[in-house]
Amino acid sequence: MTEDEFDAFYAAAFPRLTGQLAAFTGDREEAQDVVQEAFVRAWDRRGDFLADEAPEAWIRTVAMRLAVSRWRRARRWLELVRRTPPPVSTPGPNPDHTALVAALRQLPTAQRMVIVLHHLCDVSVEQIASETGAPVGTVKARLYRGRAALAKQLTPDEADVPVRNRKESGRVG
Amino acid sequence: MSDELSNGSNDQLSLALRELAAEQEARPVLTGAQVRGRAVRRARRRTAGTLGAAAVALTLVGFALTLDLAGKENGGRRLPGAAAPAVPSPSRSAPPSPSAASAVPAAGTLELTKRALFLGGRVMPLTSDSSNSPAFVGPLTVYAKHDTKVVTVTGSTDGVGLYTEVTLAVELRDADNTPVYVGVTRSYKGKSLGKGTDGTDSTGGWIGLDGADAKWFYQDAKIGTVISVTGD
Repeated sequence: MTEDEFDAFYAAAFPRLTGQLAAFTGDREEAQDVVQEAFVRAWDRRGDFLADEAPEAWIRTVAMRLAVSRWRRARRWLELVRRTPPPVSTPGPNPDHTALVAALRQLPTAQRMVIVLHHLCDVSVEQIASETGAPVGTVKARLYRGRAALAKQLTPDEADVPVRNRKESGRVG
Repeated sequence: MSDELSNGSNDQLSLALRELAAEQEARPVLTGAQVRGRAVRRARRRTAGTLGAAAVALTLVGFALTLDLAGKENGGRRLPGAAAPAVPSPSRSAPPSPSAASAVPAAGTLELTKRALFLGGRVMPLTSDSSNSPAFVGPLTVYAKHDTKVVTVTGSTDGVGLYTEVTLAVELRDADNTPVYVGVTRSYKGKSLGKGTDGTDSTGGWIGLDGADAKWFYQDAKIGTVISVTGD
């Protein structure tokens, strides 16, 4: 990949990746930071980056790992100073999206990651298992639980009973 | 039915996530060239840090080896601060080591074939010398200065020996650390007529110069000056 090709790839993929990471992090600025850092690392480690068959997936994986590590650092810092968590940032004027972001933030990181990768980035369950190092069954379980939790958060009155029924039936079946 | 409902809700989730992501898309703050520039600077810092660490390590290893070698050369008695003096000290209290002088370029030459001492653009003919007994092992290093020195060249077994008195004596040391005295010389046989200014006779070699050259050499020769030896 030449410098011009990298620049073109960066210009084309950056907005899309920022949107995906914003769905994952719930914070657009944080998403911009981690995606930009992932691109810096991509050029710094061109050997690894170019060896990967899917450069955009390489960037996304690095950016997600960066976001996760930042959360961990921030959580440790918050625990240290014993302050209340910062308010949920509002991603935009759309109230539905605000609710979705809030619901996503309630999910454990692992569940949120597979939800975003599978339902937003169209990454297959097998590919997620390969990228995250988790077994396929674990990825499926995280998807199921994540979806159920989101459904419960977003439509509590209607989804409460069906989700519980599905969960129970899933366990029995 | 349940699967259909599930698929439908999954599609709705995907649609909602895509709308959210599209809404959150942002243009890059930096240009591609700026991103590459950051990567390059980071690689340079990493390289510089690695090289710096390597240089520090090499310096430490070199310092340790210097201490080790200095300790071996001096029977382990040399203090770390005195390790490997690069420039010989002009002080008489700390005369230069002949072994260290070999690293210092020679400022003059003692040409035994031409029987002359070349130093500072001056050619000083030798009036006499003891180059055959003992032989000079160059290089010679200016070691100390004495007013008068009596050199015993041949020890006597019957009370009579060969002596050389050196005035305006500049003491050199050869590579074997044997003293060689340069100055105005007067040799004689028989019982020693006197002692040097330090009250002792010395065993070693000598090089005789005429009075003017001896005075110049005595006044201008600096402690630590190295003189190479050529010819025989």
